[in-house]
Amino acid sequence: MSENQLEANMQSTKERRYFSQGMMFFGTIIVVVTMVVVISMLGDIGEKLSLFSYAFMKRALVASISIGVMGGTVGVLMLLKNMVFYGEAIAHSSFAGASLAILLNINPFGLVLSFGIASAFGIGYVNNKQLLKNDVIIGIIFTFTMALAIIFTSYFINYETNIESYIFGNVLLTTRENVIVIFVATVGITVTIFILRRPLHYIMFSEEMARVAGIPVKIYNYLFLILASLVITVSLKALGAILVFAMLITPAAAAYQWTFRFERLLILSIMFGVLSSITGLIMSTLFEWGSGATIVFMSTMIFLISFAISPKRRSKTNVSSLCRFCSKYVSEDEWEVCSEDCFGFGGKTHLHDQDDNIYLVSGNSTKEEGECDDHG
Amino acid sequence: MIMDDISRQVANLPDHAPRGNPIITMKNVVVAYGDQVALWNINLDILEGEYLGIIGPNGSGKTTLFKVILGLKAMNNGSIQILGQSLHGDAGNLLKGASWKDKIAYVPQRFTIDRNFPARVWDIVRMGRAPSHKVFSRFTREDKEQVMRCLEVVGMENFSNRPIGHLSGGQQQKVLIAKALAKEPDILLLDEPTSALDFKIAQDLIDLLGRLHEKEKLTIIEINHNLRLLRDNCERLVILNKTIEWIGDPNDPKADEKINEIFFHQ
Repeated sequence: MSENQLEANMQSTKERRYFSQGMMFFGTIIVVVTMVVVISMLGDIGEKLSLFSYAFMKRALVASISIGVMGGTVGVLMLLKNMVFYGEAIAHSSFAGASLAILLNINPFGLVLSFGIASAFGIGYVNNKQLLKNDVIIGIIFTFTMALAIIFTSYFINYETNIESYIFGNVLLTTRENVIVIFVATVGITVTIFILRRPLHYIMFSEEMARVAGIPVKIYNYLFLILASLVITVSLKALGAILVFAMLITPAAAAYQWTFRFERLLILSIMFGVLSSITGLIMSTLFEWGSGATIVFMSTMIFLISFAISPKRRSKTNVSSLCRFCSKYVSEDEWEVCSEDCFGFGGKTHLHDQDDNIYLVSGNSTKEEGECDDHG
Repeated sequence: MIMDDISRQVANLPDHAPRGNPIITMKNVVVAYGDQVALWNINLDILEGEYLGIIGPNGSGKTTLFKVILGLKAMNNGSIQILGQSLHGDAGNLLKGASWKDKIAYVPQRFTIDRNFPARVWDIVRMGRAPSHKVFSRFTREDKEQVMRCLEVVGMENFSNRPIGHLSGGQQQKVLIAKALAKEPDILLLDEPTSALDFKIAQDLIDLLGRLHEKEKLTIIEINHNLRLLRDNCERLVILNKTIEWIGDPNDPKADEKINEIFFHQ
């Protein structure tokens, strides 16, 4: 077996290990949640869960799962583009659109969407031309649209009725049309992002190099802004302007703790989004908490656990050997190739394995085995 | 006037330099950002298989020159001919005109890569291949072999599965060079490849570029602030300060004089 194959095998083992850990974690959550639910609500659980046979619960389930899927996909892009607070600004400007629509007594969807896209384009334009720092323009648009919303609401006759549902949202009140819109948007957005994932990945790595490679970076950036504002505006009524942002950022941030591969990041993020939607909705039914809040609570729990046990940060704990070639402690995470100071030119390229064996790589094909002098 | 310039440049070639056909010909190129002139009246022939070094103070238009060659910045005046295709200053949309892009690879100035960025070394080098930026094309076996070959060329084949953010600066730079090579280019542009690297790693990288130039018969254009490193490989040196101040053999003492004059006004 050549070093390449050896290395590839070792690496794929490690990558599989990370991924399977993610999967195990996913399973554990389901089990734990089910157990907590069963233990705490043993008495009337059946009665409460029978709510799911009602049409409004089914609609809520479809809506929240869809939001989990599209939030997870777009959230990964937002996270990697360092644009998370765009989401917050877009959500608040959509809220301004909603309050204007209520004031004018028209169907809010069009106004909500156009406010969201207008602010996204405003921020995108300034960002593109680098006229101001990102956080400055986000702060200005965020507060201005909030001010607009408050001005609109001051004309309201009966304040409480409608506008509150846009601030806090209620996934249980989603109408049939609303669910259809959310579902169609989810399919469209997810498919678009999966088709365009390679150029998007390239752009996120380096916009400059992507431009040199002939990718129309500007078009992709505006497309991304449209997709982000679409996600936010369609889920506004279900989750509310304050909480909708969490469905973009939290599952993506949780998935980010598990893998270094883009496709897997997308899949894990979607899975975490869906998981928090389902568990959140069940918990909110059982404990009679606010549905949106419970979904966000669950996704934050997933993030906290991921963050705490992330394999990415566990690397420095298990020191397995002091290598004689690189005279360095080699952490458990780094066992496959010693990278420091000796990576090819002049130095000795070598591989470590978990049993403290060292494979010296000389030339292209030969290898000899050695033992480490010391063990940590 | 133009012909004079070109013949002067060719006459300045050292004996060991290749005397191939011009692969890039720039004539009276003028580029400005608003009313700020970045490049003034550039006349330059870059020959096939040549290793050209560019040195000049900050803000002297070195990166702008690359942007013009890459078709990212429109010229205000003049014309440029690359690989037989020509473009004039009034051509408007450069992006559409620059179909030579597939044959030019570019390694940008060093930028920081997020430690947790979700990409392996393999993914980054694969970005150099066309299918990674064309939506509806698939990676063939050929693509994969080319990616592996390029990693071997820069000596990073054992790192193909490492997250890119976990590598050191010199290793990342080598991966970016492998990515540029994966495109199978005719021309390789390097913008300060050794900035932020310590002197040993920088020397290793320069040696690697020298070997590449010999083996792969690449035309390499390198911007560097380190004259010593440029002298290792370059066959011709351009001293740029908005316009071409001097061009010739990098080991010529006149190069030192000219650099002193521009940098220290002596």
